[in-house]
Amino acid sequence: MGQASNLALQDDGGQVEDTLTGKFLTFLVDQEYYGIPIQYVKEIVGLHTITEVPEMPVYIKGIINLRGRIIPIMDIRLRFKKPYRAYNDRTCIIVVDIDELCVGLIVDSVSEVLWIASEDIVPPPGLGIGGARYVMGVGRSDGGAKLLLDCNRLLNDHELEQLDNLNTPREEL
Amino acid sequence: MTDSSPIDSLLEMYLFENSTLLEQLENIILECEHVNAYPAAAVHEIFRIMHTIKGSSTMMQFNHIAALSHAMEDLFAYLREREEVLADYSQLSELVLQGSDFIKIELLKLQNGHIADEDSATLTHRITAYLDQLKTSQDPCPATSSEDDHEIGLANLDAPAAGFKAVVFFGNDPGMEGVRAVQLIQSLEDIEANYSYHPKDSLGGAEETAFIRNHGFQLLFQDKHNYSEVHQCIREACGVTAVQLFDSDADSSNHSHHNGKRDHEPTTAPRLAHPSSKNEAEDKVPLAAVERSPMQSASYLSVNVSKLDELMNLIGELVIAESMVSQHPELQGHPLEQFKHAARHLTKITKEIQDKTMSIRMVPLESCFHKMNRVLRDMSKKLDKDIRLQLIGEETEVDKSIIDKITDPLMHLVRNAADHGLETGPEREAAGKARTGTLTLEARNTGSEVMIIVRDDGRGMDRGKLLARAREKNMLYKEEADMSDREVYQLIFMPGFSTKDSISEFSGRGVGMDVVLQNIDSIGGTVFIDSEPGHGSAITIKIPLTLAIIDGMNVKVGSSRFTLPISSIKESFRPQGKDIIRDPDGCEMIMVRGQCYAIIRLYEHFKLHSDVQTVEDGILTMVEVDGQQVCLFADELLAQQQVVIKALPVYIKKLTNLKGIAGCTLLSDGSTSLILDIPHLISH
Repeated sequence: MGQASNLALQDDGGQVEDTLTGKFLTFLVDQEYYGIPIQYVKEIVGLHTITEVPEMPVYIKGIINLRGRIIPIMDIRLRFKKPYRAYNDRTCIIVVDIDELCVGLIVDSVSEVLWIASEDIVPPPGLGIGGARYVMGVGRSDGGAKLLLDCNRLLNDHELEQLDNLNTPREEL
Repeated sequence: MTDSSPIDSLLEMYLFENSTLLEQLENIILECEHVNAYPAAAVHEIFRIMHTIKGSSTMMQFNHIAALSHAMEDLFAYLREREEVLADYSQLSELVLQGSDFIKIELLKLQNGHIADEDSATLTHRITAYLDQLKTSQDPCPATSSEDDHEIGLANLDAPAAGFKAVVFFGNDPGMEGVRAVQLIQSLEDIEANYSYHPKDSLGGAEETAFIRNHGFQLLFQDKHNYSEVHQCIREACGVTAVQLFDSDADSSNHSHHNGKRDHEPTTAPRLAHPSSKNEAEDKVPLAAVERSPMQSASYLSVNVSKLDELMNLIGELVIAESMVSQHPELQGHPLEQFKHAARHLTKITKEIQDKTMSIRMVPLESCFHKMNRVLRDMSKKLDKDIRLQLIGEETEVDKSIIDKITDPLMHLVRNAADHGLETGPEREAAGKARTGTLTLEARNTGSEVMIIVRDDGRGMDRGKLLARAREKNMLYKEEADMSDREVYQLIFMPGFSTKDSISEFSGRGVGMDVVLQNIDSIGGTVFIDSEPGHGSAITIKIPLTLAIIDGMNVKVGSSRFTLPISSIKESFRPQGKDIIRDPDGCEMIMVRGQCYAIIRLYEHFKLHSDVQTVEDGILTMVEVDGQQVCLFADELLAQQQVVIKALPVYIKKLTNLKGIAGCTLLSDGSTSLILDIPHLISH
């Protein structure tokens, strides 16, 4: 974990709700720095044994057991259609929790927690950076630009990857 | 009981107690209606129930409920005294049931965090009017008004020399005296019926509260046989600081304070005694509902279900943790006699704890079945059909969470059977059947699952009609000729199948048969229908006994782990290549002892990568569900283990509708495994 950068920005309105302002957890995926709003991050854990689940999109690696909770795991590299890279000891799982939806994100490494003020965030240029569909803005900071991700889209935007399900009656648990 | 919404414990208790009471009340009324008589025992019991509801509602300040139950209490107090036999009880039953429905709806509102604000005035008025009508129509004996009654009651109070008087002071919290007094009266209800108290309406206002504070709350008891219990009860009651007990003397100052509230009249007869003036026939009517009414006793404890759920989860963790310790890989190959001995002991205790916890959660289907009584009564009245309900095996126990989920679907099936299955009286007679239709609810425990069967002896289902309707709606998924009868009947569970001519007020709150199926699916159950035209239909629901823990066999397929429920496994064996047969479609089969079984290669089925592809290298496991077998091919068997079933994460379910997987579980090495849905694999 990196240390939080000490910014002399005072929280003047007490509004932490606006996701475009505040603290972001930044991480590295394929030489790019990305950030997600810190309020979604539950914890960061090392690699666990992943159990493969059949009939999943390629970026859903499977499920892990996190202290008795079963959590699905998404590989961000594959989600951004980047080449698969074998996991190593820097590989981390960021557990995010959005509207009761708990998912683990596999990233190359976790960098630090940054404070990025809203005036330092510009809308994405719409260039073909990997995973551009999930970028809600670019945050400027001392260490260079960070691509800030829209967690909701990251987790729930599957139109393009929907698998063809056979027309059999639904059966659920 | 309640969901997890933060309801304070007083209200929670109130809701729980009163729902139980209303259920009892309904059962009594239905039984009475059935024999068209109200034996004294039943009248007493109803009076007691209404009195209790009134007391607690007053305490909670739900005035509408209190007013209504007060009116009903008056009505039954009158009936209790008069012991008269009405010619027709149907009006009475109707009124009481309406009242009970009203209170039920209010309770539901409270439970969901709303306020009970429905006005009960009209209903209360009708009950009072009915009471007046009774009073005037009966013999011209002067009708005693409730005020007179308790004047008499109080006058009588001083008479018995055998009794005693208690004066209670609540010192701790000024202003709460009235509430404390009501609470005390409620706790006394259970041990002593023959007493009276003053002030009558302790919640009346500042005046009464002040009286209690200065002079004490005065209780007069008719006899001493419960002296010690009463004394103890008073001493232990909430907020009591001082108690004075006197033998009853004539000083009980008769403060007359009326606002129409009755007190509990002293009756010298024991509570459930039959007055001798009743006619013989009525005395002989066995009223199971009255006898069944559970006396509140200290040996019962009502526990919030969510606590049990948490306990169940913890036990699940414990089971896993225990197998993690006793089967730890680092212990392999060490001769640890003492350790193994201790581990076996731990395993045994864990298993016992688990069984005990399971049994706590098991409740008989009885209450759920009895609810159907009421449903049918209303149905038969509205539809003008004579219907008899027969219950078999209502003592069968299932997990509490299952009962909650099964009640609505069952109600729907019962409605459906009464509405569409059973014919009207004339039709039945024309068909040479008894005029009264019979609906049977049967529950059976088959070891690993519970079967609930809703059977009617009505007209049965018409294959041709169902097929025609499915054609119309374009719902046929295979050739008509190829469909077995069961498959045809199953069509009624398709969404949107129900048609115009089957919509009635009983088609039930917009719930179709497809929702019934969904509900039962959600608890891992299955439904199938058997029917014989002209002789009726039977809808069978099969549900697992518990949703929590199963014995499983873990198998390895490539890098994945799967768990098979032991209950479905017949045998495992290493196959010989020469026994494998392929049919022209490429489906594999194997001959075992002269029988042919289909083979499902799990890595193929789930599109996984596995190095074990030759049949001789892997292992076949034969599983059986409902008399159908199939052999599953896996790399190797791992271990047998008790597994805690967990649902797949919501996220996974959203992504794909994964078939053939019933859930997931944790293995003893901390990894996760997928539980196979055997019935689905077989039907595939």
